[in-house]
Amino acid sequence: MSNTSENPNPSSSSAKITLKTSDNELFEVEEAVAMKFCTVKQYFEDEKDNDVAARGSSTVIPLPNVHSAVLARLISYCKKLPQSNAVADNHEEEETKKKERKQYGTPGDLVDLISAANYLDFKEGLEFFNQALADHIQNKSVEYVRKFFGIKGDFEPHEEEKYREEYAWAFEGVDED
Amino acid sequence: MDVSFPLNSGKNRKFRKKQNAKKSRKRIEDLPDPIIQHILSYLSTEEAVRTSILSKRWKYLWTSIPKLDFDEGELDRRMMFMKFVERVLALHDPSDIKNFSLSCNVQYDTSRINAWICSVVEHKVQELDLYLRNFQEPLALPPCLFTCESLEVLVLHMFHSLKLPSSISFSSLKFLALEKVIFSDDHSTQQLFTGCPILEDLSIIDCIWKNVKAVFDASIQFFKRDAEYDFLDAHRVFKLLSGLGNVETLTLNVGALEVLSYAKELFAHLPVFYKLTRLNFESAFPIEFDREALLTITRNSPCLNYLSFGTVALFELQLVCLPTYCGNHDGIMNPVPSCFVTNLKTIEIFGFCGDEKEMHAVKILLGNASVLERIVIICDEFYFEFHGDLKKKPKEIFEQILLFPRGSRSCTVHFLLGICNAPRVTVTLVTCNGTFIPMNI
Repeated sequence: MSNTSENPNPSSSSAKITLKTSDNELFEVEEAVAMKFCTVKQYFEDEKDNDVAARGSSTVIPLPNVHSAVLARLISYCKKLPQSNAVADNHEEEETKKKERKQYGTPGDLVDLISAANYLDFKEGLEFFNQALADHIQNKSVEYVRKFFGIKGDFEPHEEEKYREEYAWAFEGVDED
Repeated sequence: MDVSFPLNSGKNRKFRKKQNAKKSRKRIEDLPDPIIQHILSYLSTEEAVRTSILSKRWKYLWTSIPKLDFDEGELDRRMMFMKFVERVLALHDPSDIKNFSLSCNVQYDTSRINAWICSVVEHKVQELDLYLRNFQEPLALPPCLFTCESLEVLVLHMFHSLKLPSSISFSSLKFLALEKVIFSDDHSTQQLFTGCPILEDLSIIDCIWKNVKAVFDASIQFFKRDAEYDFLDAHRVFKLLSGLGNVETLTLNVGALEVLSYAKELFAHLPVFYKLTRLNFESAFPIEFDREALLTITRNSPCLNYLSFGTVALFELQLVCLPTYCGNHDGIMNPVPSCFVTNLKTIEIFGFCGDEKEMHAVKILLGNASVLERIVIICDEFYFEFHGDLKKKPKEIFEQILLFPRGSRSCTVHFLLGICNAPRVTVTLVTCNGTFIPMNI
């Protein structure tokens, strides 16, 4: 544990910041990674202003809304972030990205990642995971989406029937899986 | 995997497991509205609207999506389609509709379609893509479109005459693409182009100019030109090129350039493209690089550092084009374009087949470009598939090219085998610096 307090080789690029999750786990992450999370960045800068964080890694930033399992995945995503988040400019690239998005598992996982990314104000992550979740809705029937995300339909049957008719165009050619 | 580890993981392992199990699982319903709206923005319009019947909470969440995309397609469900577009536009909340794309038959519904366009103009549309067909009555697009301040991208594809209002002011328009459009007269057409003060990229594809004599005055500053298929008159092409003196990237359809040859006296008056750094020649036929028109343009581009032959447009399946050189000057371009000895760093050739004329062209290019850093040659995979012997022939060609004398010692040769419409160059063989590495992707 001594490596948290004393960095034998301090340089700006390898400066570490310690984050504490809701389940009291401590994560030591590179400053560059931590600064992707705007909430952390804001906290860090405020601390700096207060001159408390003069010695960098000695501060522990609490993240009471983020669980360690989720934070670990966010950090690993963060490290893999491509340099430019340019929009895929051809079909193949889009397919690769889609596959990449698929790796982030079940909708439940994604919802956890999204709410954590939202709390941390982690823009790239939010975009990525939101899109991953959208992939799960793409081309799926209403029944499928409800089941998949555990959404309880609360329209009266005749109401639902009415809306289906009004938007009939949108219900053409949907996968019924 | 380099996931950051909790520092006290050893000590807490048992403990953590328990907490993991206890960790409350969030559901999509727990996410705040703005997040769900963001998720919906990744869906097509139909998909987003479909979520409205998931539950009461979702009923209006889609109404803020910033991108609307309607395609009538081939299905004969016109009533349903029209009703859908109208409903979606009517229910959309007051937030901006940044992108609007509409592909449909017009029939007798010009007023309905115009109402939609007015509606998205009110929603501060930034990108508008209209593909209109099957006109049963004449269409005049609504005047509000032509003074839309938010519009940055306009794509208009319709085989119909373009009736323009008296006032045109696209103050934010950077990209304009017109396809199959019939220009009505000199005055209004000229007004259209002068009404786009910050236009950067103009594409005019298969448009009909027969009612127009002269369009391009020098008011056009920065242009990237795309395909030119229908300039049938040398003087018109000349006028166009003369107005493009400030262009930085130029894509020229060689067919249009060829027309210039009918008025050779004009060559001497072509402008010098002082700002031009990237020049793409494209064509559906082999490009004869020794043609006077091509050479003159190249000679008049002193700062050129990138030159390509082939199609780099984003349309599916275009024919390939190759540079050929049939000149009998025995490898000497006379005079050599000045950019060849001062600035030209990269040459790219798409759709290479390795026939004699092409090889000759490559030889000339390699021999004369004395500051060249790299030449990328992309072989036409289809060609070699049709002619069998997929692996051997490109290898021979490549080896032969490596033996050509090079004007630049530091030039590397990259030889790729792929499908040649550039957006999806699928590379199966990659070679550079003389090594030949088969790669399957």
